[in-house]
Amino acid sequence: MNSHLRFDLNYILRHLPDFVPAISMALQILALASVIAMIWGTILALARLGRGPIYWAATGYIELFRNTPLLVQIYFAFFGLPVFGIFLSSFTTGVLAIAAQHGAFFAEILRGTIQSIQTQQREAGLALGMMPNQTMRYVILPQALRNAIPASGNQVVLLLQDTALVSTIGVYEITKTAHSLAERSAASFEMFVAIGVIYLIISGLMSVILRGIEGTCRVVR
Amino acid sequence: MDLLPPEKAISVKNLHKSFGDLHVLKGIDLDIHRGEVVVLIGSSGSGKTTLLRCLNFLAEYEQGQIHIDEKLMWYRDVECLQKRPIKKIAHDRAAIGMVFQSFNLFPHRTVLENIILGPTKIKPIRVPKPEATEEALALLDRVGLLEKADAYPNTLSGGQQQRVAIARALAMGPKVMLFDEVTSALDPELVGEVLNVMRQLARDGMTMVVVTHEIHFALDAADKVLYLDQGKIAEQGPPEQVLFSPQSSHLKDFLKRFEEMTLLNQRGTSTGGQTRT
Repeated sequence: MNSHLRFDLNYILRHLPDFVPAISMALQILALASVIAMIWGTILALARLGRGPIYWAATGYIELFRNTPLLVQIYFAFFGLPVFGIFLSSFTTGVLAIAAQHGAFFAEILRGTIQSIQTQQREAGLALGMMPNQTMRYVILPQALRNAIPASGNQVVLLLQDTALVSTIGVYEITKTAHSLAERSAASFEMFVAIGVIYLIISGLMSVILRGIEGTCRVVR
Repeated sequence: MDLLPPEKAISVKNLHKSFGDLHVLKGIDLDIHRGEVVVLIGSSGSGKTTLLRCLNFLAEYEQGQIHIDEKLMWYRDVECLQKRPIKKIAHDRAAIGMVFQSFNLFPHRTVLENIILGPTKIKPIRVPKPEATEEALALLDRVGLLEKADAYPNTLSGGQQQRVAIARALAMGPKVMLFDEVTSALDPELVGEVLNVMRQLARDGMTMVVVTHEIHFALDAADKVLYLDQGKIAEQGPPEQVLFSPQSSHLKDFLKRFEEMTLLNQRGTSTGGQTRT
């Protein structure tokens, strides 16, 4: 067998412990960015259903952030914000940059499910004597959020993939760790196979969890 | 503004409503006394549902005045385009119960939660939860669905859902109840249970405006029947008068269709043994 095609499994196994903090870091980014993106996305979705300047601000934001690459946004945040006197750690910058874009994606998912709730539901609330904002809070949003779970689950899996991008600003998550190990050993092939498997396992686990959530939160009509 | 005699539950004056170029209501004048049951009939497009929706402002109108329970609820004049603040509109809607053709229960809430949502969250009442629950259970008992309190709407039959919808509207303690073709979406065998609840409500003295195609209900529960034709009240009076001796050819034609349907229906049910499973 040619030496340059040798696959050194031992090397991966030996360095697996190095990935524990890396996975932990990735999961922290995933969790924080997801939560922020969902809250931010909900606010954006509601703003986009509004009128006047609020609508235009939300629409402008969503279009800007959906239509530029996340990597560009991360670079902008990392190199651009200090110009404006805002200094954040790479970790915070990464989390916020991911949340900023995924918030826009999540807003579009939620806007769709809000609009899919029939106007009759709204009218039923109004006829009872609710204010329009109460129909949103008690009638429409609870249903829309539940209906948004399948698509959002998919979005969160995509968000996990995007955590790899913060390796470019020096956050030691999975990809960055693999990178530096590979540089030291020249075993880049093994390393990237290894992290591919790691991402696959995390995504798989997430899918299982999400399917469980979907099952318990389904709105039956 | 309030110069109406106290017994009037609903008073409509010169109500006009258009959808774009389509003039749906062309000057409706209508008085309904307290405790009266009024049935609106008319072919589709005659404006029955629109009139009902104007009564609680789910449909905005261009011109006219509506008094509910002697109170001027909302009005618009040609000279004075006054729109009332949304808060007041919401507040006043609480006094007007509405039941819809498609039930419109909240699917993410149990039957009990559907009923107590209004009383616990909506301003003019805002009762504490235990009190609201007690009242809701009493209402469920009244519509014969006490055992379904913790069920979700999708597990109920159409007739049961509609009875819950009636209980939900009653929970707000309305002075007037509006029924918009509430049995039209039901299987024939489920119509009776809903109409019975409505009959009981009528006997209890509720003021009711009912849009329906159930001529039988009109005959035995209504105090007054109104026939709407092309956006106007074409005929009105006691049910026997309007339904048995119609004046206009339009109403005669309209009722004839019903007779035919009723006859067909009877033939259908008499031979129903073979056709139905």
